[in-house]
Amino acid sequence: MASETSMSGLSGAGPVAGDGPRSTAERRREEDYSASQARLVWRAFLRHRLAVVAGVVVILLYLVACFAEFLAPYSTEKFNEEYPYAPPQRLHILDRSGGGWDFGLYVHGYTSSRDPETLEINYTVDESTKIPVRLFDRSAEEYRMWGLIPTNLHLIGPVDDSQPMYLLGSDRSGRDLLSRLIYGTRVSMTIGLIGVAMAFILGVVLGGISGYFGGKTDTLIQRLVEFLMSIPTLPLWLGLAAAVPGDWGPLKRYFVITVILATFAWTDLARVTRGRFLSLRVEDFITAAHLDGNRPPRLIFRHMLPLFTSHLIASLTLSIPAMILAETALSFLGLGLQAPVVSWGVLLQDAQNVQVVATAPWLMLPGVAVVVAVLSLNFVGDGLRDAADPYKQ
Amino acid sequence: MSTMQRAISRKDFLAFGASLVGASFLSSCSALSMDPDTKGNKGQRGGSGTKEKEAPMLAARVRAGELPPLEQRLPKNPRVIQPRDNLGTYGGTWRTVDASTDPSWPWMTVAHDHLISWDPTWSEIIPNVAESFEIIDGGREYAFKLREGMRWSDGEPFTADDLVFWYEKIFSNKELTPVPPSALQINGEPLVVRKDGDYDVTFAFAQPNALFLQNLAIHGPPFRLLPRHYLEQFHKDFNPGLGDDWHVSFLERIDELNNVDLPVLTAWVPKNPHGDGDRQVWERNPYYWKVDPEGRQLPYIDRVVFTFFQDQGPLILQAANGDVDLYQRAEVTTPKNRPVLARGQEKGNYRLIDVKDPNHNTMGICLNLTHEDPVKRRIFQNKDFRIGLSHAINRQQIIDLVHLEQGEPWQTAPRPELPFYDATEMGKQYTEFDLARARRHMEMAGLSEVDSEGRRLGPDGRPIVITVLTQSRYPLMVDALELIKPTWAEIGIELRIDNVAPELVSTRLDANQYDCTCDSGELGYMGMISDPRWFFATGGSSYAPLWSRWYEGGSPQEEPPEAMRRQVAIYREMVVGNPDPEVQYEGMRQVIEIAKEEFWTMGISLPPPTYAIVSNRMKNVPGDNEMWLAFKCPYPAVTNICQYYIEEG
Amino acid sequence: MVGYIVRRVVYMVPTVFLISVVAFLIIALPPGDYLTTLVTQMRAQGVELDQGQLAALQQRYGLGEPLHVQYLKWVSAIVTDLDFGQSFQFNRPVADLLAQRLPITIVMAAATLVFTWIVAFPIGLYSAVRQYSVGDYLFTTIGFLGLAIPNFLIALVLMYLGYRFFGLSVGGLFSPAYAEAGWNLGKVVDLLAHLWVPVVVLGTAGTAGLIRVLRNNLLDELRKPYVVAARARGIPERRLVLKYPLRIAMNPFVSTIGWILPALVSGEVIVAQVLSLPTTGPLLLSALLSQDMYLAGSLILIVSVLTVIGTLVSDIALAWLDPRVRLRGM
Repeated sequence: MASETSMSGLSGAGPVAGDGPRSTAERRREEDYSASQARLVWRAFLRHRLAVVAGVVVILLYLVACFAEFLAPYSTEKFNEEYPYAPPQRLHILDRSGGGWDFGLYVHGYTSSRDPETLEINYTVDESTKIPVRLFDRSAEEYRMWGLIPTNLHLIGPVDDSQPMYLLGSDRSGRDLLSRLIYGTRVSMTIGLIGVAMAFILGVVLGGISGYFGGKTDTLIQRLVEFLMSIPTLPLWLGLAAAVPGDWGPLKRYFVITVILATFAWTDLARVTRGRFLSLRVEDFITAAHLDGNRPPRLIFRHMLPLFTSHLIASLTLSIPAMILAETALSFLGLGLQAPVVSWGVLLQDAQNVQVVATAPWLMLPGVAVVVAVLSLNFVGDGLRDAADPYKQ
Repeated sequence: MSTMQRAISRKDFLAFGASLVGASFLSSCSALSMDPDTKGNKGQRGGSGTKEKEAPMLAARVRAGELPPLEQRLPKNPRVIQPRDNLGTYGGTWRTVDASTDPSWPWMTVAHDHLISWDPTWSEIIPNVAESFEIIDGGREYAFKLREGMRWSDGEPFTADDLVFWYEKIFSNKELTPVPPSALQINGEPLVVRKDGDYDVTFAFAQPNALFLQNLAIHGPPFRLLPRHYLEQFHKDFNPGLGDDWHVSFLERIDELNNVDLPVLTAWVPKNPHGDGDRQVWERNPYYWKVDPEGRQLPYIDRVVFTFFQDQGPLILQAANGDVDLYQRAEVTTPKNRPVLARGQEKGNYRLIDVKDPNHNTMGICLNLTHEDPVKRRIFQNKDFRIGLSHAINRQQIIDLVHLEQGEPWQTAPRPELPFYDATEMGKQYTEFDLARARRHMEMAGLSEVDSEGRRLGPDGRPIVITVLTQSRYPLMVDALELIKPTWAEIGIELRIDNVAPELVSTRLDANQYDCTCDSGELGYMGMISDPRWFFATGGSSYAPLWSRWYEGGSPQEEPPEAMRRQVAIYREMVVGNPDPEVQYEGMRQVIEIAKEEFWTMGISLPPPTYAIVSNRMKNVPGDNEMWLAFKCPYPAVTNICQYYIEEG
Repeated sequence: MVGYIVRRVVYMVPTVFLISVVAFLIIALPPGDYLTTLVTQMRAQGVELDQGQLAALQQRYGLGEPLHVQYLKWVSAIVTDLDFGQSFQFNRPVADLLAQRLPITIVMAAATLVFTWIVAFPIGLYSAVRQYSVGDYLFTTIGFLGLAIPNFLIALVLMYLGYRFFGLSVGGLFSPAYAEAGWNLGKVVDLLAHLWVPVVVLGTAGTAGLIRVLRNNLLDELRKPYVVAARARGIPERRLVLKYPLRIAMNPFVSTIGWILPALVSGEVIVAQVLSLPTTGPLLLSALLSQDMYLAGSLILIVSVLTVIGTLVSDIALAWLDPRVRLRGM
């Protein structure tokens, strides 16, 4: 994670701009004078097909986070002492057991026995029992959508609520992994966003100041950057986790820590921004704007920043996967969110021993969710970066 | 060539590349070998039968003139150990592992040899280093007779002077011992050690201290046997040239696990410091003072090798691979790890033996009876409130889900095996899951008001919320609490879980800043005699910090209610004050009866038996249910690990 | 150039000083100290440390003194005798612990670096030259997978597979049979059999970043007028790419030298923890968790100093390789 971000920082500071974007820009503008910059970026982005697909996935993930209550068949806490570590069931659409063509969703039940030596419960799928399942089920427990609208509509659920339906298997308490995964999406995809945003703003502002003014200000900020970058994050987390008041809830505690950490995480972006400003401020059009009597804030925000907005968006997109990975890593170390909060990292805590790998591998599925989210966000970020400078093409 | 390779120690990782090249040039024949090159190690196979009186590796050193012959190394009256099954053969390595940096596993195995010891069945204290001992004057004095001719691992004699040196120069030295440990004093009066002869020492207390020997027999005793001849040079009294912080380096010198130069009395001697962190090798002590009935010197096994892991995963796989000869640890040999270990038994040529758990509970729920908030304190101190909560726990459900259907509902009462008290009634009281009864008890406790959302209101008109502080190292407790949460909600009590690092829990307990916490219900068996923490609030208890400080000393403190004061009086009079086991048992019975009546804490279920990993090549090892997983009686050390031997199948 | 280096080195002094203060503060931040940890640990074993034992330990570890006194003691010992103090939980000098673990950490870092380069270089090159081809998508996805899969999951699965199908005790760096043995071919093979797991796990996490940077930089470079001009002159595509653009796009590879060691020491704690590797990462973790202050403080200090030096080295190397960076004067 650390390496990833520092690398992206280097790429920005590398020898990119500087080959007179103005002349090419003029040429392009004649061809596409009707298109805005945003449209040009969008057009270039569409060329990166993987990024487009990834973009759709990201949107889907946030939709899942948004409608978790409706999508999840059960609540995160609903347990069933009869089905701990139940393996995933296959969702059938067509029943031909009777010889005919019987359409309708159903899953098979389980038979289970406990091994006296290993104490494991061995499940076998019982082909003879059929548990009918329906979409837009209303038999399951009630909830309040977004904490407001009381309803009991679930996307999918067993017709008879006392029968087990574990599409992705169950955990050690017989809780439905699918439901927990869906609720986990909400926490994992959002908890760090404020922190990321804060780091972003700090990075752009301080990097901008550093690059624009240069001289003593620059040296000072660069030393600060160097200092902050050289403090390892792990001890910071540990220190902060222990220093935050104990009576705050786990979610609040984690949130506060991400925000505090943001004050350390802005350094990469600051370096990139500074590099950009350094090369931009000697450009003719900036000098001209300066001579026109524009004051620094206007110069920065009106003339310089828009030139690499897309780069900034790209780097913002790329810091979200870093945040997701950080959440899982910290949960692994027992420093991040803790049960009973449900997040991908917390779910993966259950998967962090060889016993699970050997006997209940479906508990590693939250890892797949992490992979999907991180990959898609990375591709989106990449696509945006490729498209960042539409005049270059 | 072999010396060449011995010179390349495993720690020389810096020289890794160089030695690699060097070794391949200098010893091309073995450098290209694919087999483990173990010439540098002395772990020869025994296998030559049960005739020799000493290990071949020592016999070779005697022949080479490096060691005196066996007769001169053994005391006149060595301790004779009856092998569990057979006379053993010499040689081999006991491979073991550990998942922690704390020294408890070495303390429970290789580093445990004191004046006395528990017998292998944990029923009586027997002489060990001491040839015999006598309890005089109702536990006021303890006279030990040492073994004549017994020697330290460097060959120097072990005599009464070593104990006197410890007493005069370490225990009585304010720099080394600012305050004497509580086990070595009684009512603020430290013990006195008296030399009665070269091999006779008496430990004397101002008043009877009947628990002295039990406190000495635990895995981390309050003092260790230390060699005067080696330590004098590091002591200010003998070496005035030492600097002001001599006491710091002196304390490092007496660290038996890390100072490999320190002469010891144990069966094996460490070859490298425990703090190296990844491995520790122990090699036989040529002067060990125990023999088998044939007069053959023990131990049978040449070496003990500990491999340390930071994480359980690789440890479990190593065990499942058959690379561990004997290991048990509460955090590792858990039901959770059982499937992988059980599956590997045949392939790895080992078995899992049942080990008894002295804990009386999977989880003791400790409401803070001395809560800062007077309202909560009043509620929590009400026995009916606690009974109500207890009835509102579905214990069978927790057993089924969290503990894999192992165990039975049980309060924080002694274990059923306890020889001197029938705990069934206490263990089973208030364990039925009965919400109606729970509600009735809430009403009896004066908490009949319920708000519109079904939340029970306290006397201050606010809903009752109990935040349970749990330690992140006990994930099963969080699972259990998750199951208790909805049933407590049924009777209108909201349960919140605050799961934090164990250190933070300790700090909050000491500061008296918590509603309720959970603890593993330890000390449900014989260990309770020297540590009755679950029956009244002693220093180790988690349910009334202010009361436990009243007993233990320290501030702020508060006088406990009459019943607990009575418990303390009985305990001090009959258990601490009288060495007769029958009187002690009677005292404990009375203390437990009061605890049963007062119901200070509640429990969930009896813990299922735990297990140990034992390889099939280890012989003379305990079988099923012969060991306890206990710190107060360190198994497997008390089963005479020196008579274990290895037989390659 | 010399002036630049001297200036940067001088700047390092206050930075390192500040770091040492912060390192110490971070450790002091959580409530309690090592004794709290010890008390907790013993409590779980049914042993209650009494006031007497606590007082003795406090005196032994010098924990009763005010924070700034402890700090000054620690720092002055480092400056005067390179003495990093004593580790409480291991009861050993910190310097000894470091001497054991740093070499292995460095070997691992080097192996990981090489692995990362070997994987990232061809993928980055290919996906830049064949932008938006199926191969580009495929290889970058593979490259990014390493980044996206939580490290401990890969480590666990590889470890289990190693045990299940190859009978390997993957944890640690040697099988028990070889751990005590002298060096020979068998032992080297044994080491390699253990080393590949952490190297792959750690390496895959780093390759994604490198692939991305190489690809982007090369793409930028390939659009430059000089490349267009060269192509117009009919220079074969292979030579065209390899001659100049690649060399410039390689800059980030140089920079990796700077951060790889610090990243390994502190960042990859998780992998080392899962696999129980005798490296410095788990040492730092356990030191922090148990508030073993001198050990933790020294590790943080060393890691931080390594980072500062690493940044300096990579900046100098960049300036030396790429005249434009140098001329811009940074």
